[in-house]
Amino acid sequence: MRCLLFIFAFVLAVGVFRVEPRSTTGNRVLVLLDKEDDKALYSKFFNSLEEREYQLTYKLPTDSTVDLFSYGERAYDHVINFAPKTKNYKDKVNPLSLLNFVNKGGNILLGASSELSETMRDFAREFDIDFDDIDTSVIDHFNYDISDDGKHTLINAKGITNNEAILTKNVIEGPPVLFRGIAHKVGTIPLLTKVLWAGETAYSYETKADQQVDQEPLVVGNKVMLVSALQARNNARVTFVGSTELFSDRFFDSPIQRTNSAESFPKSGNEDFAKDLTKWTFQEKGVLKVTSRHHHKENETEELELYRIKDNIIYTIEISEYANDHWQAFNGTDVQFEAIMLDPYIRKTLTPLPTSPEQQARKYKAHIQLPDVYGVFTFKVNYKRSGYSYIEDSSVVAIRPFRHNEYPRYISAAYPYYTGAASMIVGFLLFSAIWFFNKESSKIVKKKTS
Amino acid sequence: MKVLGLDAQNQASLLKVVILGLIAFVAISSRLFSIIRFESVIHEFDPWFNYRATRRLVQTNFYEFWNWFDERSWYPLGRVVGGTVYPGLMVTSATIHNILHALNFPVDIRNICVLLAPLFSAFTAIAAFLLTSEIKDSSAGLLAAAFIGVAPGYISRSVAGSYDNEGIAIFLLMFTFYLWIKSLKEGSAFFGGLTALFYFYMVAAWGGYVFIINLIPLHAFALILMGRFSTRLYVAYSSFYALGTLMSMQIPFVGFQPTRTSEHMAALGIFGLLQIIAFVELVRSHLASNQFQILFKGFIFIAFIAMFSALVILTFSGYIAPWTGRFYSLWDTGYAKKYIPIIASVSEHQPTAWPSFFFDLEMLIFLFPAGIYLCFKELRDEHVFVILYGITASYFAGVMVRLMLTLTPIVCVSSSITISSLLDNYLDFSVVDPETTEQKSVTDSKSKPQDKHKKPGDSSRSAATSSKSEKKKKKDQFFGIIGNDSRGIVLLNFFFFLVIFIWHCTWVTSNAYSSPSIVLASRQADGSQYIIDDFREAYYWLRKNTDDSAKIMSWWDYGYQIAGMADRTVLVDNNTWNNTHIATVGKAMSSEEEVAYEIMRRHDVTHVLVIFGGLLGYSGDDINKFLWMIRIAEGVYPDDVKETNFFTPRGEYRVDDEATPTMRRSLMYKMSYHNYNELFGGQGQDRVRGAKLPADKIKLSTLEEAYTTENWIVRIYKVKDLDNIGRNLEQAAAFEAGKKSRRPKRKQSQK
Repeated sequence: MRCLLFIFAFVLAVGVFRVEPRSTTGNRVLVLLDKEDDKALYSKFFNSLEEREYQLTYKLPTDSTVDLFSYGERAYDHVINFAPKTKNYKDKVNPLSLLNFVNKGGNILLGASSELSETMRDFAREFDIDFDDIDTSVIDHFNYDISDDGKHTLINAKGITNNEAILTKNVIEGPPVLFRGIAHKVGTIPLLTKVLWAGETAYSYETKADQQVDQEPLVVGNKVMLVSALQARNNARVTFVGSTELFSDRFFDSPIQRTNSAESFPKSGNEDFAKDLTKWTFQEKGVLKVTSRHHHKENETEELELYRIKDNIIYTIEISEYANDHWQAFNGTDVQFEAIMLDPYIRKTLTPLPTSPEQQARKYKAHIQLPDVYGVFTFKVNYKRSGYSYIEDSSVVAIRPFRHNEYPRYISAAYPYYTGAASMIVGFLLFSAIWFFNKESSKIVKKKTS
Repeated sequence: MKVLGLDAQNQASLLKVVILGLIAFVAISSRLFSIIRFESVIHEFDPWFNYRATRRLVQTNFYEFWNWFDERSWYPLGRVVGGTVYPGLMVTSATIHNILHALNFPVDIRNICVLLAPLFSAFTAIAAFLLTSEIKDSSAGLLAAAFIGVAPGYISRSVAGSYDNEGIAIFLLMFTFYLWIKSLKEGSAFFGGLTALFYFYMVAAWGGYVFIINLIPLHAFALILMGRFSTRLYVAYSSFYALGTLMSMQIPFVGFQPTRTSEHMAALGIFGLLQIIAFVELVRSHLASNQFQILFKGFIFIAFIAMFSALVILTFSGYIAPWTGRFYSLWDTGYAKKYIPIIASVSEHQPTAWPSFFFDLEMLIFLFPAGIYLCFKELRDEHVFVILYGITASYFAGVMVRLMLTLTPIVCVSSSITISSLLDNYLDFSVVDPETTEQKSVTDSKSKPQDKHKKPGDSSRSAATSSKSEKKKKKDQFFGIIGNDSRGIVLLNFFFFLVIFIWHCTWVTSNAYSSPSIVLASRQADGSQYIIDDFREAYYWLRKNTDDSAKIMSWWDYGYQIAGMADRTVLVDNNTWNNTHIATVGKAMSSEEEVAYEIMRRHDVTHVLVIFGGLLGYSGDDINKFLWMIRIAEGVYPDDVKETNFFTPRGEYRVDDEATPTMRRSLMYKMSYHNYNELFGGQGQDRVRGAKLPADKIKLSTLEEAYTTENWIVRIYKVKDLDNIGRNLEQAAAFEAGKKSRRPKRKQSQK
């Protein structure tokens, strides 16, 4: 009886505490803060994360007990770094370890501010993201929010990505995002995605009293990046936000109205924007995976490692997308197949097959005739779209030439040879016959003459 | 006199068999040094491919082998092995293997492969015996067999473990020639057919078959020119050529070459010529002579014009391939260096140095011309053959080191004729008499029969008959050219020569030709042997520590060994069929890291292997081969790789402080010397090139060192993946090292 009770309690406990992480990476989040009190500034933001079943651990970067790894494995799945001011990172949390964290598949949300420390600036620079110098802010004298304090640094972000893999439609079309912080410039590496940027009239500069503008600003106009994201090759996501205030309770609830504009909203777009941004960064959306891949000859089912040139094969791949907290069929229509040997020999768009709603993946299929070239080919689906995790699925197959007995047996080009062989046979028989015949006749002749 | 109840003739036969058996035994056992010193292991480079192919043949079946598409070499192009290989060797060993297994002798295929060449050297000795017996007599034959059994020129390619085509091809060469001489002598279609059969075996075994298909027509042509056309020649050549060509075309690698390439056109032409001559002879026997003259001239003229123009037209229209580069390099030794560096880069394709003739053949090289002279004296059909073989083979042996191999048999045959004639004359006590030779020119023929019957002891009596020069002859008894004393001197001399010859051959075999080259041996200070086994160490590391799908980039020399010992996919190997692919590897080795990285990524390279001899003083390393890589790469990518950039302004090839920047930035240099200074704790010393290395540290950002063997001979590097966050690998490495990237100071705006 006791035993049964115990089991009951255990099952109950599992049922209650079993947390289905919403993120495909995991739900352990490390939050780094400049001061422990800062937690209160972003309470709404952190609460929304906890509502989404994340386990938040708050630490100071200067705390020497905090370690991103334990026994070489990631101790956390995500890092929120809201400690822009901290300069002295300890041994265990520093740019190098944060980069290792990314290389091991962890996601990072980095909040910056005008007081961004050099350490984090260096870290960002590795991602080809160049934050402006300390004490600079994004300034826009034409598009500041009406609640601005006169420095024109509280601005309404004008440009927002329309990539629905990252942001939902109502955020893209909803109220603008309130921003006060530092600008950054993005480089040219293709892994970067711009998420939020300033208007034509913005620039980045220091905001001291009676500041002389005698140097060229780092960035101006819509090159002034406010939020950008990088998806690493291992699909880890790192998001850079130029303003930690963007996530603050004050900005979440603040009404918003741009100066010189009649349009006003009772509440800024910050809360919804932050939600979408964390969803994307923490791998809750825009995540793709290949669930199966198969290739086989037509009319067969077995997957081979060795095909013959000009074989007709069928290639299928199933791709699944994580959205709305579950895996569902991916809806892309531009998935391509490539057969590569140094260069692509075949490139073909795969046909998406219809799916029923309960299916978790969509099947893509193509009929392919293999090239008339032998060698070792890589069958590759290389699907890289901004906002979606990368798909690079490859299988190596060898394509062999015809076997000696696979060539056509009787070909018209060889008729001369057949004729030759046949005439030789006939000639030999004839010759033999004549030889025999002649011998006898000559004997007869000889006999006659003698 | 009867011994063992046998009469004289049977005794001679028994002796011959026993002697041949002993020669075979000597031939085999002198090739076993390498097994005794090291172990039963496959040697060098090409044998590793042959071994790998044989293993596959044994594991699968003949048809699988025939259709083998090897996707693990020449990545990603692959190699159609069945169609690009001479299968004779593999089939031979597989057959032996299967027979032994059928008889329940579970012999490992490796041991069969290792011991195949010594076995066939015994057969070669027998073939040499048969051939020389046809040319002179069986005692010359035995000498030839003894010579070929131990001649270093042949041993160099047939020690145990040297599992290469040449190992069986020399036997086939000799035996085919024997059968050809036999069929020519007898005018027998049966022997002609046998010649063709062994010619087919030779075609299946070695590319050197072209020598046969040109030498036999040359022989036939010479005989025709000498007015020695006969029905024997007609029958022998026609049956050999027709059957041999048809059979040779069954080898996929040869295919239609006998009808389409210039190398085979001579044989076809002689075949045609023989038919014409035979036809002319037929017509002549049926026509009056003046009618025949007109017909003959007209016919010859038309036939010649027709054949020649057909050849020209076919060559220009592409039906007959012109001579290939390898053959041009036989006429002009500088050709390959100028146009095909890949051929010139092989050490065995270099012209032969004079000393190596003596090294490989010792005294035979002096006796060889004498044998040719003796052939001229008799000049029967078969002697013409020996002369032609001797002349052509000496030319080719002078052009290319490896062709010493085809010269060796004829040198042995020819020298055996010399020595055997010499011994015939000097050992035959029954015939000789000082006067006979002395008086041959002076006296008339009547004294000859008299002298012939005399015993050596009777010489004083015969001398008395010719009273004119009695005193002089008395003196000759002791000092004459064929006196017992001078016989003794000559015989002792030659006995001494023969002993020295055997001595030399054994010494050369033991010291020069018995090293497996995958295992090196050296002596320590106390005289004990020190085995350097770095190659196998590295290959075994690759086999055990890399993924099965790993792609290894190395210079082509090591391709077969990596495929054979490490069982990993390679980009290029010793079957140098694709010059561009080799040049691409050469370009990767000779370019800067960034360029090389692109190439390596494109070819899915996971590991790079270099051979570095600087620590040990092993001179056959990649830095010494590097110039060839550069040359081959420059041949294909003249804009990207320039040989001159690797030489200092004074035209020196250096690796020390004065090395050119291009040299020091090249991947090969970096891989060879990476971390080498750290080993010395200062500036490293390269013992091969006798140079002190530059002091600055060599930085590698796209590769990381994966393994370096005990003596640093083999170094393996792993190719890094693309950086996870899209930096270039140099930046990534700098960040890891703690360097920060800074943006340049902000520009001052104009006021």
